[in-house]
Amino acid sequence: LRGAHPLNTTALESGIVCAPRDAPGHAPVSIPPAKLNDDYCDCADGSDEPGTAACPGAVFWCRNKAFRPVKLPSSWVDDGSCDCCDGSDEPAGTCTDTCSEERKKQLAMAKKQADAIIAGVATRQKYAKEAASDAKKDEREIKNLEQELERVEIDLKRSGRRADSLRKRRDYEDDLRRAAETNSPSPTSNPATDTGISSDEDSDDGDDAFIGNHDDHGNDGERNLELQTGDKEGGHDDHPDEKVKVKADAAQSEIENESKSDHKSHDDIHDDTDEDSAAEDDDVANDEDEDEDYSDDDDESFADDEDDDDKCPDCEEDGEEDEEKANAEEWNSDADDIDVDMVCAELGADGLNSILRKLNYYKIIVLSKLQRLLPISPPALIARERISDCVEKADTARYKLEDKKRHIQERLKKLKGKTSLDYGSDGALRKLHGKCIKKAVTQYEFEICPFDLVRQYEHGSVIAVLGRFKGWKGDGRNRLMNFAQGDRCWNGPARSIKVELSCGDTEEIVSVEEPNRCAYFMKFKTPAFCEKAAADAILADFEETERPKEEL
Amino acid sequence: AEWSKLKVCSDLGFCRRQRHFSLASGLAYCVVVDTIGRAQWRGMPAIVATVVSTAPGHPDLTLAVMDVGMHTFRVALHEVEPLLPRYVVRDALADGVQPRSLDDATLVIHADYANIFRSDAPARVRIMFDPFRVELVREDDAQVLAVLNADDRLQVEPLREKPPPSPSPSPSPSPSPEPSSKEKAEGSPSDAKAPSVAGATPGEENEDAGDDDYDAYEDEHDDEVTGVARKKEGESGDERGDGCDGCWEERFQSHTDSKLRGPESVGADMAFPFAEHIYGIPERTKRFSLEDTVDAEGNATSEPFRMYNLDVFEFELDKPLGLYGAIPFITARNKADTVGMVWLNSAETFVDIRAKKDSAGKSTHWFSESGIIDVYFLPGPSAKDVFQQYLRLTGSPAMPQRFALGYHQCRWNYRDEADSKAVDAEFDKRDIPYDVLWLDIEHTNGKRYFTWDYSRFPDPTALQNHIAARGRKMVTIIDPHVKRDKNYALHQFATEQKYYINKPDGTPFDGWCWPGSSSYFDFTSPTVRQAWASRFNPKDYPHFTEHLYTWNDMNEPSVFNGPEGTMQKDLLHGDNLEHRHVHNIYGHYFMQATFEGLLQGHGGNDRPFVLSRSFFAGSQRYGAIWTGDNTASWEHLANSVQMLLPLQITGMVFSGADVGGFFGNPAPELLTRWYQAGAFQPFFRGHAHLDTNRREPWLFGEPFTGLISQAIRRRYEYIPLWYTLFAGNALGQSGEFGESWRGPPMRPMWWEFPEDEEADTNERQWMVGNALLVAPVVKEGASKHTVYLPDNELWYDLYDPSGFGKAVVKAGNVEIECELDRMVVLQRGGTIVPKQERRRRSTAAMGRDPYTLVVALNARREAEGELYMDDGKSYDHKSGAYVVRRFRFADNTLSVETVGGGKKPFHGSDALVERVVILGYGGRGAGSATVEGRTVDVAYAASTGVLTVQRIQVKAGDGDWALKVE
Repeated sequence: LRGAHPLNTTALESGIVCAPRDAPGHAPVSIPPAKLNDDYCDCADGSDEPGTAACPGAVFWCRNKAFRPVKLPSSWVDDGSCDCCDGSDEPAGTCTDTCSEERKKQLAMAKKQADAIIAGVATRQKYAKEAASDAKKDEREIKNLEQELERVEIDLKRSGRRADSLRKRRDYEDDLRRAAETNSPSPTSNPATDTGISSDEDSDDGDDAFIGNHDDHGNDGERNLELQTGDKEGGHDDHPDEKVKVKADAAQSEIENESKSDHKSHDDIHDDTDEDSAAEDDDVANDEDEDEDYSDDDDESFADDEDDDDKCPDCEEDGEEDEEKANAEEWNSDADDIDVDMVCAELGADGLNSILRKLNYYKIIVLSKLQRLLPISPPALIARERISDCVEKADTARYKLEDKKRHIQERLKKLKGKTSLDYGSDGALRKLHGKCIKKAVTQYEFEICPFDLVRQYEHGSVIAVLGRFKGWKGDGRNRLMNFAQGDRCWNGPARSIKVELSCGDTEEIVSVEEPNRCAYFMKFKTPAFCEKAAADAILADFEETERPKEEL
Repeated sequence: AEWSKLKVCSDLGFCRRQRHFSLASGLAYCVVVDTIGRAQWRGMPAIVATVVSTAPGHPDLTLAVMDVGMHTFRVALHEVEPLLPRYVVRDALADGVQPRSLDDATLVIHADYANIFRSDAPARVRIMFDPFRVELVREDDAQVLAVLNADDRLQVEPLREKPPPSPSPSPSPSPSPEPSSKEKAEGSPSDAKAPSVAGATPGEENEDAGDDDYDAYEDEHDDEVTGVARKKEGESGDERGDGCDGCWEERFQSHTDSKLRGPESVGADMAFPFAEHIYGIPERTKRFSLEDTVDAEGNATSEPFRMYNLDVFEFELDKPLGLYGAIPFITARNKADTVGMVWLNSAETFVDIRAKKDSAGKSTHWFSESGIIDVYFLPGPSAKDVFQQYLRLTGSPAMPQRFALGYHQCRWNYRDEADSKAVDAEFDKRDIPYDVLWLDIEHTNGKRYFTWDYSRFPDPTALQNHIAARGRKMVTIIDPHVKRDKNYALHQFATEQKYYINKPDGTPFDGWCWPGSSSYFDFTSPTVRQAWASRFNPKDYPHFTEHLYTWNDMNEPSVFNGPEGTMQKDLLHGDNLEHRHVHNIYGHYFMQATFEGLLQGHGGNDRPFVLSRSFFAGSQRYGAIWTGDNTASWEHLANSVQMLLPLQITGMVFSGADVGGFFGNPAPELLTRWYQAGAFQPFFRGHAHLDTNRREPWLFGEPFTGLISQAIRRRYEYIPLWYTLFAGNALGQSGEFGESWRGPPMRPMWWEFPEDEEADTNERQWMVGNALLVAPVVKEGASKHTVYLPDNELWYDLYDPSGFGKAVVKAGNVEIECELDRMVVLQRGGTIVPKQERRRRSTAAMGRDPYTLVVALNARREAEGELYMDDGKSYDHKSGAYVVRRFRFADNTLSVETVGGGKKPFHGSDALVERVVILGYGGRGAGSATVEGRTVDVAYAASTGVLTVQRIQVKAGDGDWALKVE
């Protein structure tokens, strides 16, 4: 029976039952064999006219004996165009049977295609293997980097603190020196004492890092670092933390009441400093009540401080061996001696900060008074320069560490991003990560860096980024790489491009189109998309020529 | 936004001078009685008289009344002896429209009036002497149908010498630019300015002027004796030498119109005392029944309707401005009477419409920038008669090839060969029929028409053959502007031959268009048109094959850097014809030249297909037009009906709107609804702007793809109906078609139901022929839709979900459920519609497919219909290779007869009728049927009362057979 499904012909030949086309709603009627293919459409589903164009939307099967059956829409039957290779869709004598040649041609093509796929599959396996080891390598690197990052962060904290200590020490030294200079003509004068006290308070204030740790216990170390840095850079006048400032204001009156006479003669410049100091003092007092809450923090601080000491020689490594240096070292070691953290560590007890502070305070008072009694010694000045040098070196070390941290973080982000992407079942697509493939299409060149971006070139230079990788769209073999948020079109949307992958023996851009304005579409070949099943399917099509395929 | 860049009445001197002008109160024109008589007017037989006004400054006029056949009277008025020849429109009317001899007409001169009548005419012309009127009076009952000059607005500005600069008043340094405020445009009567009475009296001062000059001007390409040259001598006057408002020079934005000829506008009013509605004067976006622009007291209520062909970017809705084309033809009607009037003038023209005070009909006021008053009265009495009279006057629409009625797939632009083939293949893959693949400007080499961009289209011949393998065609765009590139053959050709429109200094005009600097062929010249037509051959147009047809765009003409995006009015066609006179007909000439090119290029026996954007009265002779660059919005979808109905009744029957909307991206629902509407409009093309997203029918997924495919397939089922309707217009003058098959294919409701007042203003639905009522859904998210069904008819709902052809029992405004899958199309009782229901890839494969006749019974259980058949493409029908068949159903018998042709076979003449579907057959059960003694099967659908007679297998185009249903 013309046009009938090759497996259905005999069944049809005894007649069929169907819903009648011309009487919708009527019960199914039986269509005798004589009314099959009689060029009149009886059945609503077109099943009585497989071999004519009578029923719109019906299906015509080309037997294509020498090749394989193919189905056509009935609209193609007897329309003057040869659509079946056996010519059965047109009246006899209209077309020639080209099925064997067609089969030969297509088989050759299919074989070629299948070979290419199989070659591709081999490459894909290689890709997958390499990708797996790459992935392991990357994971190892991530682990290492994470550890290194941890270390760097610790070092950073430490070096920060070190720099701060040194800076404090230097400031302290300056204060002492100033005090000494002021005192030397008239060692007993009161203003000098005031200055000394002022210096004490400055020094006290210099312990911000420490106190801040307690005060802003909700914040991490970095925050404190910032705070300190701000203090150092902006000077004491610019306290960056409003909260502290407010507290300070509140505390101010108390302080004033307590020590009005002392503060009366202070220079205006020092007012804020005083306030800060007072506030901190006040905080210290508060902290005493809440010491338990901070015990952990304190522990850490102590531990860090110990490390800090280890680091200290770093600064001095490149030092000279002359006497001055020895002096400086002496000063340094002195400085270490008065380092509150050290004191804490030595005390090894919890919740002793206020005691430490006070100890420190008294120590400084004592030292400054002592200083006042003695003439400024040249070694001390030299030591001061040495400290300055140390500060600078410590800062440089810190910046280097920060840099290193940033680099590690960037690398980690990259690696983690790379690792988190979907590279298909076997991960073979991972091999495309970091690759870029370019091709000229008309007057432009297009470049795809899979999992990264797509660019358009003209005359060798980039004229537009067409999109940045935003993930996959769709599922399975039909999924597309989605690149969006490219450069904005003049008077239009941001460019975007979808990339369809297919199997190929090597990476290659097949085509680039712009179906909608600024929305591009690329076809891209890669072995990483080759599947053996596809090759099998292509060849399977040629195995059983009599078995109809369900798809056209 | 664009609207504000266009001129309004107050920006134009002649509009200011004419709009509120009136010669009433004793100074009106009157006829010099003893001048009335038979005479030649421009060599044609006429009744001629002289008409004079006692008001100063108004020239004596020559009145000529002619009979141009089909009961149509022509009335011309102009200065008796103009100083310079005035332009008279040519080439709009059909060949052979010549005034009949008036020897057998009767001229009776009474004391106050004269009558001109002839025995076979339904209406006479009555000339009233004082005040002067020309009336069209129906013979039967003396009903006055139309009155020229009823309101004494007749004004012909005499051509005059430019006055010398006036010495006394100090020359004002500021020749203030013309006022352009919209307030002024709204036109209180106070801004009306009577023309200056100063200036030369024509005739007396120039003895050369006269009929000779008239002819000379009309034949401007052959004769150099003219006005502009002469005028140049007196050029030295100051800008407004005689103080005349906007007469000697006008400025708009950065453009200056030199107006060397000075003022020469003409205007007159035309009353239709019986009329309730005025329709016509496309192309614009206003209501179909034209709203008044002036109230009964004479106060302007809006801008006047403008006719000036412009490429209006992103045109807006509900504006009185003119768009790409102009047809100065109106139909005035009420439920009993219809009169048509053509104001044949191709210069810029305005029309005001107002209701007369005492509800005595409508009055229209027409004025044009130049030319003569040249009016044609089409006496009716029905709309169908007016339409036939109009087609007789301006020519029958071209008979399209069958493919042109299929679906057209267009886009700016299909990128390349692969893209074109992929689109073509996808239609096949989806089993969606289509007939023509279009290529827009990007297919050319740098917008040089007649060339190809070979980097995108390496082998255009192969591409065309590929597309044509399934019977399809291709269309490429060719615009009238020519890139000024000295290496471009067409430009070389035009330059050498001096075929371009010139600047006033005589050198070729160059304006800015798609290719950049461009010049424009002067298509007003027959020589140039012929030269253009000769380019349609494979030598001058590589890869011009038999499958290739043409799209003419930008022919208003569009000039990006010109005033209002078009040409300066003082450019010259030939040596002296100013562009202002021919502006509105330029696009028509271009279309004509292209039509000739395709006709010659395809060997003379292949009907051309030309799509044009601009048009004028008579352009229907050359092909199709579309409504230009619309927008993807629901409002524009609704507006497509408003825009197409005026085109239909003014003869431009092969017209359509871009499906989906040109600008913007239609939502899938809008696109689906647009396809559903477009499938039942005459020209059916999907098109989209370069910047829009792709929108081929399959790109939106289900249900949209399926519904769009369904709409297109339904279009194809009705191709025999469309083809017959087009044949009825194109070939119907022979009288072989019944009256219902002569008339626009897409008809306003009132056309079929003139006495139904609801129909008068209905512009949301239409009739295809007399048979199908189409009421497209044009609202987003609509689930209910109101369709108006005129009473006293039976209506069968063709797409009722509960069954094909179910009778609708209600009349009036009927609410119908209309989910997205629902198209509202009903067949009217009493009609027989031929269909071809087999699905095909294109119309080419349908030629021999069997027919289904859908018989919709009326209350008397009768019906009638026709079918035209020919080979679908050639002119062989002219030598008899066609057939017109008339089907009648009565007394349970369907009979057929040949009423035209049938003498020669043609491809498809052996096609069969396979089914007859009888709607409204009703509860009589299945029964049986016999054809020529043979018993044939029947099937009866009880739920719908539809009886189908099956396997009839008799020839559709031959033999007298009868089908009897028991």
